[in-house]
Amino acid sequence: MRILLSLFLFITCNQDLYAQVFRIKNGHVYFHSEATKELVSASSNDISGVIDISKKLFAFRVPLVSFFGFNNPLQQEHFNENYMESELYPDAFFVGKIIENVDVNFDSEYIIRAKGKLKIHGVEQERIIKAIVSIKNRVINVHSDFPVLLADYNIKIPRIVYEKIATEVSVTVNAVFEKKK
Amino acid sequence: MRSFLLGIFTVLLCIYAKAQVPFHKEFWLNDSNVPIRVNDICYQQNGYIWLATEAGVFYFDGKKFNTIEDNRKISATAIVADNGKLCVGFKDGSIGFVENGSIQIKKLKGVQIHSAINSIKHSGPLTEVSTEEGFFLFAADLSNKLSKQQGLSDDYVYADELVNDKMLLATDNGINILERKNKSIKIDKINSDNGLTDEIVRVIKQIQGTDMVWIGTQEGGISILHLNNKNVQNFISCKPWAWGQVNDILPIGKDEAWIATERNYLLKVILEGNSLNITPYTFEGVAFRKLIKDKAGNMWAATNDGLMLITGLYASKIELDNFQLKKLAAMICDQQNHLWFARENKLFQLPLSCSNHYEVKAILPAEITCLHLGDNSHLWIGTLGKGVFSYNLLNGKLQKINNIPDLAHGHILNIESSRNNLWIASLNGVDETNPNIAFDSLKLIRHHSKSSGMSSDYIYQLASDNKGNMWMATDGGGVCVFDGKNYKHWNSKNGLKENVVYCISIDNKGTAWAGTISNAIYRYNGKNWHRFPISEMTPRDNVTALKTDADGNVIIVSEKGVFQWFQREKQYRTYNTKLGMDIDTTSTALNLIATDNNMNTYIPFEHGFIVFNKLKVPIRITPDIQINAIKLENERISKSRNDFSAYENHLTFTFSAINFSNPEKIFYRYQLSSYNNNWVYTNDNEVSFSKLAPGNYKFKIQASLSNNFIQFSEDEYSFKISKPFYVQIWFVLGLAFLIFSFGYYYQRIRNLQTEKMALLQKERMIFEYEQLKSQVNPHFLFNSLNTLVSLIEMDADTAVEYTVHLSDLYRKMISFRDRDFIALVEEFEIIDNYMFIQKSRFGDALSMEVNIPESFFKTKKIVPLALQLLVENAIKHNVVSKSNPLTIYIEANEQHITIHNEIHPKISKEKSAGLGLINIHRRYSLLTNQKVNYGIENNRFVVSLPLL
Repeated sequence: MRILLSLFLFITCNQDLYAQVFRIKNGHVYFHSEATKELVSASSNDISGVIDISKKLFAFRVPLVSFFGFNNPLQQEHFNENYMESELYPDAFFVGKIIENVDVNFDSEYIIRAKGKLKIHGVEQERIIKAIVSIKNRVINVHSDFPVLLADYNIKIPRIVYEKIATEVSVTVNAVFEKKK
Repeated sequence: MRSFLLGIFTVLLCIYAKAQVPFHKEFWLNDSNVPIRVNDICYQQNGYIWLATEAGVFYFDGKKFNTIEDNRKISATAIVADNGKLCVGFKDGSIGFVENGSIQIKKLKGVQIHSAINSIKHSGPLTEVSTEEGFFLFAADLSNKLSKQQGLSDDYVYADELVNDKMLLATDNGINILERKNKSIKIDKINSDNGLTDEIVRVIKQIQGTDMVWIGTQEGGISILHLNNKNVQNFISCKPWAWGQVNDILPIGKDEAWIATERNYLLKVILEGNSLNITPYTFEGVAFRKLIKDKAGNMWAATNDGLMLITGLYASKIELDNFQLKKLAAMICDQQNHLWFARENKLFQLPLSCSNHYEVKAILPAEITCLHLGDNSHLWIGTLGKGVFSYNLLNGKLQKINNIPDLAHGHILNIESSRNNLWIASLNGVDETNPNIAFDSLKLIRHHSKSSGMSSDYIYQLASDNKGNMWMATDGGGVCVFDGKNYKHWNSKNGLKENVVYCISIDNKGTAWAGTISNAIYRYNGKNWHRFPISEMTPRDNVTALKTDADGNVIIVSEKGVFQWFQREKQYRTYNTKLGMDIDTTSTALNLIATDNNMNTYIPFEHGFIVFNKLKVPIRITPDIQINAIKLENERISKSRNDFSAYENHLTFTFSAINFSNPEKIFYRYQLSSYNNNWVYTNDNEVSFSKLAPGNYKFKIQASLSNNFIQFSEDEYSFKISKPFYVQIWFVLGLAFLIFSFGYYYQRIRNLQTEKMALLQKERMIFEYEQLKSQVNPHFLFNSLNTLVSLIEMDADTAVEYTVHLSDLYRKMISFRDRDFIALVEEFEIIDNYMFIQKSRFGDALSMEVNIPESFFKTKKIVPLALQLLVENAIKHNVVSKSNPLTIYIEANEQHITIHNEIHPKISKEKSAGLGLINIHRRYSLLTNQKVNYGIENNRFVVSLPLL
């Protein structure tokens, strides 16, 4: 955890003028789980993140309490208290490196793989997540869809709501990055 | 374009999916069937399969999973076996070795590892560790870390592979080739610029004996890297790669490999020139992480749920829809690798290449009994009651053979070719015929029957060898062979146990094999038939089909399952229900077995056909055996200990045979040499010996798949139980020495004593002699007699008294002389007599003063006549006169008696031998350690004798 945070801070605080560090201007995270009986979905606009294009590193963070749009307040309460334990594990992280080369100087579209540690609910899992990166006027648009298996992150679903929550949750991330000034 | 490709691809997938598939079996690591993710597996040569899992380290013997104790409860992520030494990498970066059933964590010197270990290799002193923070090398006291800082293209290293002095690292950013150049390390990088399809390279595996390696990537599939020119060879069949992330590659020989992928697939790839032939096998929901093979040809996959056995290297199956095993009567493979089979009167064709679609090709007017391939394009078909037909494989034309009248309505049992002739077995013997070019008529050459010399008219199977001999499996007549002129028979009278032989097959060396109505197969070595019974079968079971394969092994079908006889190992591998692979029922019809062009063998079973693949790599099926633990009085001890004391004589051996194919049919036997030299057969995997006598022992344990133990594996343990200390040689020798020296000493003392006694005796005799001599001394006698004469004249009474004293003196001297000691009182009786005599002579001039405590007279002892002698000496040597009276003093204390007198030496000395004092001295020295002292003190002669 400490390593992750320091890496995050390192990238955030990096003042290297030559580094091509991009920061999220606005971003959106959305998840939905389609269980047989109930569809759960919520989203958050409170995603922060940086990409260092020259070093091919990245870091994302989302506070779990920032998710909104649940079916009802009870669901949100369950989400934060029973499943995510947001007080204990307030944030979800994804920190790592970009496999493919990205050139921000030309407008173009790439499919890249981001490899790193996805940390949710205090459990760290190594993931390779594909993303579509499109560059226009040195602004980076990132879009990614990926599944999260609840079992991988030690998120236990009580038997009584088992049919209401799928074991797999689909996550969609959209973010616009601009060069840090 | 893309959708078009996808469409084609889907079609291809469908075809692939329905081809031959290997048998497989899943194993749960625990009894509760909870999935445990296996991260890595390795095969210990001739031993266990070891598993590094989320729940620690396990090992597997084919039957049971065992855990290795590790209190730290950390996931094991990598494992490797090197010459029996097991090296494990953990999630926290620690490295351990399995020793005596537990994990010993290795203390790393120098650089430390902080992240999960992706892969570990160990050879001799060198440990190579791949992690996400770099590549580590440990050797004795040296350690080194290679990462981006040292010039690697990425920190994340998946695995390493050593190929001809080059170290290849698979990383997130291509391949790094490490090579020693002079004294530094040169790093070459292979990435997309060199043609790599994906930057993330997860697997590198050498193609044995070449400088080529298989490369497995995250999403770009597989390629081959040629190390000589650093060229990456990509394959069209891998584009697009539809089988997901490659997790492992298992190279088989030079042109085949099996690929394990993250999602659902095992792929068999075969290199054919510049193209790669891919056969995918789907396993829904399975993530294959690692793939290895054992010596018996089994492939083992580490999966998300546990362990999976895959038979793909030696056996597979063709599953057919709506397949009916019942009433299947005959089968054959043609040159185009189509499998033809017959049910009732229908002839079916199944293309073997890549389909499971079979169809009816011909319908005959009668039930089909047998099929035989005439040439490339014709099939001979035997029927029940309608004789023989020829079937044109190219145009499907069916032709009944009518020109031999006996055959036209015959019941055909078997058809075989030999030397261009077609042999047709029917109910009344065999017709040797010659077909015409058009395959529409037959010319009868010869009729073989009992009357022509055959042992039976009823032939189940004909088999020709390459010398032109025709072998026949007969009903009631055993095996019969016709060499062109003569028949030769073997039956229960000369070599076979049974007369009913159902099947016969000739292997590529010309050796005949026969299967009979009983539970055994026979092999003819040119002289004799050897019988190999099958332990799973009872004598009432039959061998219904038998065929030799390309490797000299024999495949046998019976109602008890399918067996594969390994000629080199003289053991059977069994395929039956117990395998848990859905091989339950096989056909009881005779001779349902076929071999294709590639020497694969086919047998029908309830779901279709079992295929025994021609082996690409040699396999060995003999079970391995290991002594797992040795217990001394129920305490586990190290195997390296083999010296025990006499009381450590209760030993227990735990052993387990390792067989992954037929774990249920292992036979054990053991021997403890010098305890019992017979082999003891057992089913237990533990044996105890108690109260072992001292000696040297060797415990041998053997395992085999056959109870005759022609071939077996063996493990042994030698040990020694020492003798108890009291029978040990040092103790015996010491004791003997002690007894000897004691005896010797005793003897010596005794000798000394007898010598002393002898000496004493001698001294006494001398003394007695001297004494007697002195007593008959003429002076003494003369003086005494003179005194007596004068006494007689003057006083007759005193004379009588004198004479009494004189005689008393002599009597006492004689009676005491041979005693060693006499009481003081006795000695004084002599002295009194003596003094009386001398006083009669010297009158008052001689006196004696005795000062001895009264009690001493009876208790103290003295050498006889010693005092008398001293008194005598005093009188002898000194002047005794009125002017110089002599007073002799005798005194005593606890130890000594002292006699002393003033010295007034006589001028004329009496003649004396001078032996008296010396004799006393000697006699005392022989009897006691106390000394006799004598000398002159203040003009007095003093003698002191010890009192005893």
